Amino acid sequence: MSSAPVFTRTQAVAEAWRCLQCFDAPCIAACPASVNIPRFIRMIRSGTLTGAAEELRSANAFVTLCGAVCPSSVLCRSRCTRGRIDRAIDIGQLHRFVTASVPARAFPDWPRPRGPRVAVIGAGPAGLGCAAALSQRGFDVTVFEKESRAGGIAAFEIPKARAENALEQDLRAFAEQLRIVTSKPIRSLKDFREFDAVFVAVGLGKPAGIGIEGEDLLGVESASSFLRRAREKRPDVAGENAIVVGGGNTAMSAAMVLFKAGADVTIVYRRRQIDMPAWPEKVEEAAATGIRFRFLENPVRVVGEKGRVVGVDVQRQQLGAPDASGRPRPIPVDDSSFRLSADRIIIAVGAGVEADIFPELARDEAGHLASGENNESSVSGVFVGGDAAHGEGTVVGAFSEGRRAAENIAKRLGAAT
Amino acid sequence: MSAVVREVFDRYPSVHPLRDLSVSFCGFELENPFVLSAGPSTDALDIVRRGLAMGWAGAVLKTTSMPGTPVSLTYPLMTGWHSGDRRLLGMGNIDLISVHHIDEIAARVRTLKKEFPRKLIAASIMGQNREAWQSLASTLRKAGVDLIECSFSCPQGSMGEEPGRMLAQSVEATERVARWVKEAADTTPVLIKITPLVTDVAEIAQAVERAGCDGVTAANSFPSLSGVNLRTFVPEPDVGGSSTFSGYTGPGIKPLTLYTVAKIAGATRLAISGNGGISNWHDAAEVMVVGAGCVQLCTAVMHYGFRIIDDLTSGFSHLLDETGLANVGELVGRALPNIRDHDSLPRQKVRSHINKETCIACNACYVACRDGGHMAMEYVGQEEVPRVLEEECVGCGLCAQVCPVVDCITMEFIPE
Repeated sequence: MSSAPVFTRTQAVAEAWRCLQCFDAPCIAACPASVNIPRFIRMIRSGTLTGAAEELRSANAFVTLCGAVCPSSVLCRSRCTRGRIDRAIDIGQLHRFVTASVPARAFPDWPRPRGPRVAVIGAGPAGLGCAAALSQRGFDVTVFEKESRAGGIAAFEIPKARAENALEQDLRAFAEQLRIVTSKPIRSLKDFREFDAVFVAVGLGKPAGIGIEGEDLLGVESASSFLRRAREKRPDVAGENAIVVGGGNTAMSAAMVLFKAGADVTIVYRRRQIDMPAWPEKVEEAAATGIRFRFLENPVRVVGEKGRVVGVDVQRQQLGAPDASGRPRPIPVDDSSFRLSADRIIIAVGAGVEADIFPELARDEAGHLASGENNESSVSGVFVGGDAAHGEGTVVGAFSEGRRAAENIAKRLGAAT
Repeated sequence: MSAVVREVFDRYPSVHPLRDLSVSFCGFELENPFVLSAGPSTDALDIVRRGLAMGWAGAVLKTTSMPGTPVSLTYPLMTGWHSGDRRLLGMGNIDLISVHHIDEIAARVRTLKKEFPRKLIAASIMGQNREAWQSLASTLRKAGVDLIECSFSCPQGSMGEEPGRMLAQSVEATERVARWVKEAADTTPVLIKITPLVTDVAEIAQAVERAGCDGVTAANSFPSLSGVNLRTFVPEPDVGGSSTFSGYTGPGIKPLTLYTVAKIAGATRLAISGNGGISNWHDAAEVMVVGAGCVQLCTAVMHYGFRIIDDLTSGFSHLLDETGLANVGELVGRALPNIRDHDSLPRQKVRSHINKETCIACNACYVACRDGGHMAMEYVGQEEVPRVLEEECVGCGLCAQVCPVVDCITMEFIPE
């Protein structure tokens, strides 16, 4: 997560020796991939870096990518016992040290496909996690991906500098053994009858938007579309006055990219800072960089001139009783609108699952694919997971959920495990 | 004092209000009990000068020999044994005696005595026969040396009786050679530097006593191998593709020094200059309370420099204040009455007690007790304080040793 340079060997070993080697370590419980953290740290201490890499990789095939993007301070690190003495072990840095020190190696060959046929729709972390785990068990897996390459948001939205090398390394190490059909958008299950099971992990394909007047003006764009463009070419925003709407990690990423490209950036969020779904370290990073924040304000109308955005009307909010998310519900304050001028507006709220895909599958209240116990959808034999089922999560969380879904699928299909 | 030394003093004046730390050793009035051991720090005149100027009470000049004695060094000299986070647990060396022979050392003794009349100027010697030992001793006596130390225990290359064998590993040879030296030294005090690597160090010390020598320096470096490179299978230090046994020093050998000093103090009336693994005032005081009349430091100085004298003198000053002892001499041997045979220890019951306020719930104690103790703890859950099963706990104390929090686990006395 942090962009700090990788530890030197001296730093890594010193940090590894700070680990208390807790029994039943809480950090493992806090890791979505259940990496045995005390074990890989023990191996750094004794100098078995290859063993440490194996430990990390056996828990998570996206080992390099997760090292680069895992928010360890809200996951493993947040529960590190050492923090009760002085400061938590920098597990993310130790992870990166291991993956940087040990060249990625291809996974051992998987068995020849012989078991039941499974279709995986979406080659993001959840889909690939599922596909890899099933292939390892000898299932006959085909992955369908609408984009031209596998990787999901790591391949299209996370800035290249942070994720590209890591993603490529991991994909080379395991995804090349998978049958992945790219540029193949799938929008319904009608052609999948010959498969014994389907895993749907299509992510959040509906771009962000809040449905207000003026959202179609030139200069207004969803965060995912903006990040995608920015990933290929530095955006031409220098000197612009940019507003990012939203309080999630995508909002923080978009704001950082704008700022680095020379824009003057303000984040507008309708609740308070502590209510932001973004990881605190990302918020702190943005604030430390020089990005401004406006809280308790919500856009109600985008204002344009000659078809291009020139500002946004925002309305003050006050906090009401907690909503389903447990955070106070923002309530608009009457007659409190005022105008902020803006050359560019990036919308980072309201992303979701496309409304018209997979009409066969039931949705939950938030519009995500309804996921029962064991990743089962409303249709027998169809399983769901990842962001499409739960909303924006982490790479490591989605990948691990894909693996769990694979177990559930295997259990359902009764194949040898 | 050279200009450079004075400059450093002026920049970093001592900040500690010091007590009188003087102590008498073999009839010499030391200004404090901290003496520089025979070693690299005492093998160049300017280095010794700096050490003495910075407050060390004396120095044992590195072991010298008869003119013409070959001293064939090979390099590197040093190896080490580190904790994973690069703290030096111990150092190993394949150094030999000084390349400077007796004439040069005798001249240095004269110089240093003139420049530092109140410091203990001692010198270490090693001979290969009676004539050599006696000539070395009498030359030093004539030069006005305050004390003669005899190296009977250099683990790397001994010029003693037999190659590869230390003089101080033989009771008979120790007594014989010690007698020769004392004869030549006359009234000048003689210390024999022994090794702990013997069947019974008390027997060796008693041989020194019978020979009429004044005392011993104990326990010196310990014969060792620091480690082995698992790619080349060459032990460390790698000297052109092979290696040899080295002398192990530094923090790791302190417990061996305490044992050796205590054993000798319990078996003889010899003066003991304690050395081996002393890194700070606390270590130094421990060695003195089990019987040493003064202490020698070498590895700690090689590691951190002469400036550690500040810690030593400050620590001793505060120790005297806090214990109410009148002087440093009162420390010597003070713990000896509390060392007994296992048979005569009282039989008692204790039980582990975990301080719930300071416990951080790492459960290191739980896993240690489960797999290496008596299965006397109950795992309550993550982030929960483990529970001591009172009926199972025998009071071994393993849990208290593995706990990372100071004073969190204590052993409570259980009245019958």
